[in-house]
Amino acid sequence: MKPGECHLVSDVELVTRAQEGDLPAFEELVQRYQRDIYALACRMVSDAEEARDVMQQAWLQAFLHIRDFRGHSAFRTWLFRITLNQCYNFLKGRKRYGEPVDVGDLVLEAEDSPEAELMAEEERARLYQALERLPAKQRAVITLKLEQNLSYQEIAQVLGGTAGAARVNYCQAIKRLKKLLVSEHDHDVAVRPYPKVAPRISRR
Amino acid sequence: MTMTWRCALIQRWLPGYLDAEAGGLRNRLVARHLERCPACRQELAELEATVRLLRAHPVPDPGPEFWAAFQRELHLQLVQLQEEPRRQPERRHLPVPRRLILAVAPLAVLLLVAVGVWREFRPRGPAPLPAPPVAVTAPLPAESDSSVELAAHGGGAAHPPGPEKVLYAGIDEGLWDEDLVLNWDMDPVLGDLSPQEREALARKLMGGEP
Repeated sequence: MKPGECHLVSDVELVTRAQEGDLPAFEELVQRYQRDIYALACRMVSDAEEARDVMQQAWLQAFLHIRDFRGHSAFRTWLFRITLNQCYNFLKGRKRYGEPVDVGDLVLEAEDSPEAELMAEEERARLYQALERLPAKQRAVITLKLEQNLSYQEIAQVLGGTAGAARVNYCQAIKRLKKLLVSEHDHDVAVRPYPKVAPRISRR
Repeated sequence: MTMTWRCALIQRWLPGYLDAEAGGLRNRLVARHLERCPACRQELAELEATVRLLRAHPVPDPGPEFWAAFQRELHLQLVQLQEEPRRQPERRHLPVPRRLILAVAPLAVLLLVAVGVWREFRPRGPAPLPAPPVAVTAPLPAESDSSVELAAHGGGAAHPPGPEKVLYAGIDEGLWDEDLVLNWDMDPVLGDLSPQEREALARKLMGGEP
């Protein structure tokens, strides 16, 4: 659900009810924004299963702290902030324990023809590899800007700092992603300086 | 194709040029530069391709079954979380914001330490002596020769001879502690002297020869 979409009950009303302990109201908010949260988590952690866990943790945190939400920003923006914090925690843990990343789990859609499918898969893999090599904050800013369509002001509310800093961060991120995509395209997979990510069977 | 300092500047603005939030003047500058600079046009095309690629491959939706299972699981956890606060006593919130307390507490500690240090090391002069009481002599009906002469020198020359009671200003109001009052009564001293010694002392006090 995007902010521009029409709802019978507004976010503000649902949040107020949720703050008073109304669980169905909170679950209505979950239904509205679960796809956005999941998409952000997937981009950040590059693993469908881990993204699900991160999303679940984010919703639980949101439920626990919903009384602290003062309405200074949109509820969706506040959720993104919580989700990113969960993602950062996960990434920190992964860095510490060296857990493998599975971008293969994210490739779920089938194309029309085998050739098109192959090309699309190649492109997707290239994109995911490049995204994976971006610093987490740049990955976040690109996702928030291009996929969640947040303004620089809203990105600043999520990531901290000013709208100007968010714009500069986005410009740097997109240029870096472009460079990484070009380098992915130019070089053979076997000579990449990082270990090749092998698709693995989903744990689900 | 040579890249000038202007190209470097323009290429920094290109990602912003792609989105609608960029300022109008800057966009016009970029557009004018792009008309005559193939290197920057190439850079812009690559950036556009990057954005297109990202938008062409959104995160796939995992499907309704995934969401149904997720919501069921989340619901159970939320119910559990909702019941937990009922079991635990609710945290009391202070009427003063915690941040304010955290800001003021170190200042208060510093102030206490400063007062303690000052009290410990403050300059101490000689202890002030209690002011000598103002003695006022008053006649008493009893008689005593020796005390007459002493009283005459104490400022009570006009008084008729007779035994005197030493009065202290403020003693009746309880301003003086009895222990602090100096004993100016000479009677016990004089009582121990022989008549000759008394006479000699009297002469000495009056400035005469010993």
